[in-house]
Amino acid sequence: MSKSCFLFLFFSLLCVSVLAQIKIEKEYSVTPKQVPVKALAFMQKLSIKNRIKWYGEESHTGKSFEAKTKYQGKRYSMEFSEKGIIEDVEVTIRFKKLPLKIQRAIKKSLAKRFIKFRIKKVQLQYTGSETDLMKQIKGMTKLLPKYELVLKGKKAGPYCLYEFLFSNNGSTIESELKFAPDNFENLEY
Amino acid sequence: MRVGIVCFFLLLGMVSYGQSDVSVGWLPKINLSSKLGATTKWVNSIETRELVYKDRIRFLHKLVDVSSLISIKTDINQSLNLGYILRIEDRELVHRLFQQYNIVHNIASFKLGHRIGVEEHFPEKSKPFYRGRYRVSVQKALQGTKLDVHEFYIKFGHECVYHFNDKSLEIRFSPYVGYQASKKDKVEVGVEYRANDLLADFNTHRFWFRTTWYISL
Repeated sequence: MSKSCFLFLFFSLLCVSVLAQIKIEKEYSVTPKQVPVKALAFMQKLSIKNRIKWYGEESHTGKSFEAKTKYQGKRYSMEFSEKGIIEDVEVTIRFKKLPLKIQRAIKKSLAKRFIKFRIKKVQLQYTGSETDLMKQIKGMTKLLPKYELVLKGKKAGPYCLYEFLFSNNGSTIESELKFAPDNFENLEY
Repeated sequence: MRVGIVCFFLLLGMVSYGQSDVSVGWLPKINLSSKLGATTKWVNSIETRELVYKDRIRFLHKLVDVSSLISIKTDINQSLNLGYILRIEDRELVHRLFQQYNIVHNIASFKLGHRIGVEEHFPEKSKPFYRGRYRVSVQKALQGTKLDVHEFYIKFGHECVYHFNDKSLEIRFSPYVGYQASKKDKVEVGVEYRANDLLADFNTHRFWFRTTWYISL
């Protein structure tokens, strides 16, 4: 094989390998005492009656805290920075509940990337100031969300799990992460 | 945990009270898996059975099971296992072929596993016999919503094993505590209760203390 062919192949493979980053995330339960005061204060302002579960998270983007709860019938996940500043609010929603225009745009983008895919989970992701996010949760304003999807997709090889973040209009992919394969040998053998 | 231990001894006491056949033992196992390709694994294991109590306390080696299977991933959470077990018991060899299908679901912070299978046993000194089995297992990480390295988890299993020749049913219940030691290995410790001949005579009870080490190469 000539040197130029080898170099071309090497750089092509390098490009392919960086297209989908691997999602590596370590998550663990934390008590409210371990959560930054600012984050606790934000949640207290919402006066949520349901139980709030707190988690610490370490991923490729750094360390953060997450509060998971149910509020007004919806599953919420609020992410806070290491210092307790609210970073985003995510609400779980069914894909079919999204506006048709958004559904079509997302499906069109995914069809270009995968031979086959099945959407497993959708979350509306809201970002903004603490005041705006508080108002969004209470239903006092309508921010434009981004769309976070977890799906199983098939490219050249077998099915894998991916997480995508789509822009407000559903047509631009802002990030693509591939989940590291799950190990459940102790349930199979 | 305390409730589980109390229930275990209550059950042991209950089944031991009547004219029951009770035995207690230890089942140590090592399970080694290695990737052959994107969707296939080769899994080998060795398991022994050590009897500790039957009518009286005793220490008796009963058998060894050496197993080898090919696992083919048919979907993200589904696989087909085709395997062979060689059992060495009382100097007799029993050859076993098995076929299993697994489905594992992620439901909130739980993993729910289903395994359905059939087996064909070929003992050296007796006629072949056949069994069908179904197992359901539930696993939950004890720290967070998913299991990470250096974290514990609990697992509960329930299995029904039907012997087609005898038309007998065996049921098994097993609670475990597990530890994800590294990305490539985990250890489980638990107790498995087995009741034989459920349809005819609910009289044979076995308690096995299980220790299993799962290693991914």
